Amino acid sequence: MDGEERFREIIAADEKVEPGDWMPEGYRQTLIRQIAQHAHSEVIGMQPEGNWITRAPTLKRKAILMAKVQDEAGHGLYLYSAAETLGVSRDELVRLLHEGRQKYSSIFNYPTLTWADIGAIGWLVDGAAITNQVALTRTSYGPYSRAMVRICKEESFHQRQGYEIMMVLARGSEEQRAMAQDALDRFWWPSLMMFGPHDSESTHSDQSMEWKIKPVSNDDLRQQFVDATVPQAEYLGLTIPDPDLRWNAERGHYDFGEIDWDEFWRVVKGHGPMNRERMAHKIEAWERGAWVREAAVAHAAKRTAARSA
Amino acid sequence: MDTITTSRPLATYLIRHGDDNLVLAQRLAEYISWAPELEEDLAIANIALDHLGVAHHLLAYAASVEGDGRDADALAFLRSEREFTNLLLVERPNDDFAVIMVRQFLFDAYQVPLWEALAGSADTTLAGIAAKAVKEARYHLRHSRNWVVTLGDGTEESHRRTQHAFDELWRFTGEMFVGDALDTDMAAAGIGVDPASLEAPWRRTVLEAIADATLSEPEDTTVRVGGRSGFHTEALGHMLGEMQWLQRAYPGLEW
Amino acid sequence: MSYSVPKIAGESDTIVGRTEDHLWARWEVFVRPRGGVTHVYSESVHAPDAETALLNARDTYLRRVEGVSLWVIPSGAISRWDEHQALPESRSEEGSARRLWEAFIRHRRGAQFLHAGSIVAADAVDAIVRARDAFLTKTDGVAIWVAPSEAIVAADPDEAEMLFEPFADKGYRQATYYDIPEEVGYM
Ligand SMILES: [Fe+2]
Ligand SMILES: [Fe+2]
Repeated sequence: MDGEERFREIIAADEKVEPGDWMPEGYRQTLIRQIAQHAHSEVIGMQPEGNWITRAPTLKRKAILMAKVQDEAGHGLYLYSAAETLGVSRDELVRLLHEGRQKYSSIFNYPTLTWADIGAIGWLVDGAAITNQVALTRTSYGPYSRAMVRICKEESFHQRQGYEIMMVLARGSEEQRAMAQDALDRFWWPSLMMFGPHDSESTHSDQSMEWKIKPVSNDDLRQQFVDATVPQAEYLGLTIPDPDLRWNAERGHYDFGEIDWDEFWRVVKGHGPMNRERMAHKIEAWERGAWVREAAVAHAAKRTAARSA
Repeated sequence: MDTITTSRPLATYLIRHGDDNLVLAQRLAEYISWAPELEEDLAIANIALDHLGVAHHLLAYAASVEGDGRDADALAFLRSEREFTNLLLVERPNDDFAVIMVRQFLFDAYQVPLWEALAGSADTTLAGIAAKAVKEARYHLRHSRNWVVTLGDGTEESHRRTQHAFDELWRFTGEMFVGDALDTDMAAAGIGVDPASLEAPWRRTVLEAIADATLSEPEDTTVRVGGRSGFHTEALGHMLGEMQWLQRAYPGLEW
Repeated sequence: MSYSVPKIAGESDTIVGRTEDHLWARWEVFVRPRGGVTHVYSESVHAPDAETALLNARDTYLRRVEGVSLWVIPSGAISRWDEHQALPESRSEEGSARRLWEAFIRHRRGAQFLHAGSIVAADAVDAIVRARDAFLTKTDGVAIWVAPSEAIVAADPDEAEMLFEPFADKGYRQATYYDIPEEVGYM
């Protein structure tokens, strides 16, 4: 049996494609693009939340937030590791990000303005991410799927800590309640945008679905997220900023309003509130670290030379 | 405990060491997402979380010893700059990766023998905290020492930066071994340790690494003290301003 | 977190590059968890040398998992075999110079590599053949990695306390730490 036949058979049987297998070049490129984008998002995602570690209001919240931001660094690392099995280096992917030739999730181009944003991000952004990532554990590429399993295990506390922050604020002072509502107002629509364009608009989806890289469609995942989240907002006594949101008994789902796609495209194309700051931070950190990375290599070479001398 | 007539000295003693760990954790927290590689971001977060955990334990215990209604958060977020009693070394700013690692190394080399000694404290709660902290400190030392040697004996630039970091931080190291009346009392009561006794093991660790790193021992003989009595460098006020802002802006709320 | 950023102008289309081109080498990580019977593959880290690789692996992969043993292996020291590659039927001649190898096996697609055991072999191919004969009953969907035992960097058992214990009291990393009312649904 030739490689292509075997590949089709593996996909058809819902088995995992593994690094040594023959795969269509398009499959490889799609995976590299998607995994890298996912990895970049985890790493850039450290910034908006990292923005509040030094200002976290209690020792406990500080530890939780630091552990969470650290987890996101770990998630980036696992994903780059998976991408490398496709024959590309992490350095190369980082370079493509820095040159603006690869993207990260637009959600991280919104600023974290108050402490409540940390609650809203955990609850909504991690909530949306988890919805997506749970689906992706079934992706057809073995290393990506395993990275997703590892990540989903760690994510379990991210959403809960965010929701807990929201619960405390929602039953707190007038100012705290207002802070919580404001955070929900600002993060609700960007969270829905995380699932991407409508299935009808999404150029990648068909091929990705056929290869089982992306097992569930954007719109289905978005609906799943809305259905799970509405009762959570109700429990908090907060109002989701969507006048068209209502339960549709016939469909057994919530109906919700249309995303502002102009805003969506604006942010994707680099004109969101924080695009420039996020990239500038990332690139500056990388450049500041250059002498350290080089020194480590030089030191290792000296040690090797000393041993063999 | 008999020789300590009130609970204050013990609380003060615990707060000192709590402050060391809290302030260093806060400095490391500032650095997250700025590390030279992803792996190092993870490592620094681990170290910061360890210090934060130790600070939390010590401050919570101090608060319970005080018994006047303050908790660990009140101690961390509602004391002023003049009431913080951390060593000056740990409040020094994150100038570059060399400063961060050398600062960490100089402090780790002090904390390992400190926790080893305090693990035998007559105060069993403190002994318990120390016994846990010493395992963490040993790891921190292994990590920071590895970087000090790597950077010292790396490239010309890394060598220069690392030597500069030692030279800049050296005047803040003497303070670790200068005791005061409280240290003497706590050591006499078998609760604490005489800081002077930590200097020899510290020097051994530090000089050995300096040699492995092809660096030289700084010649600076200045000993800058003041942290334990709340006389800080100007860097601390800014750090606390940021750290305490939310609690100060919205007093008395739950978060 | 994003899988759904649409492609826009200027974005790179095809990527050329090699895994080995990272400035810091790639090291493969294996962890034996508490209660586990063997070392399980745990993805990779980048590091300039063995000591840093070991520390990086600890800081990356033991943040929650309670490990009792940790190995890192330079990625380049591993020889890889899977079902697509032909293997010689028989082992190398007895008597040739031989050394110790560690064998890792992925028993089916989708599964993680597990350390299967050590074998004495003449070279990488011989090690793979011997590992197949010693540890496998089928070859479908199976992959084998072998590395010379001396290439494995292992955490010293005496250092287990400092390497593995500090994570035990970080309960806030677990979902169960947070009290979320049931009526808001699974989270
Ligand atoms: Fe994540
Ligand atoms: Fe997360």
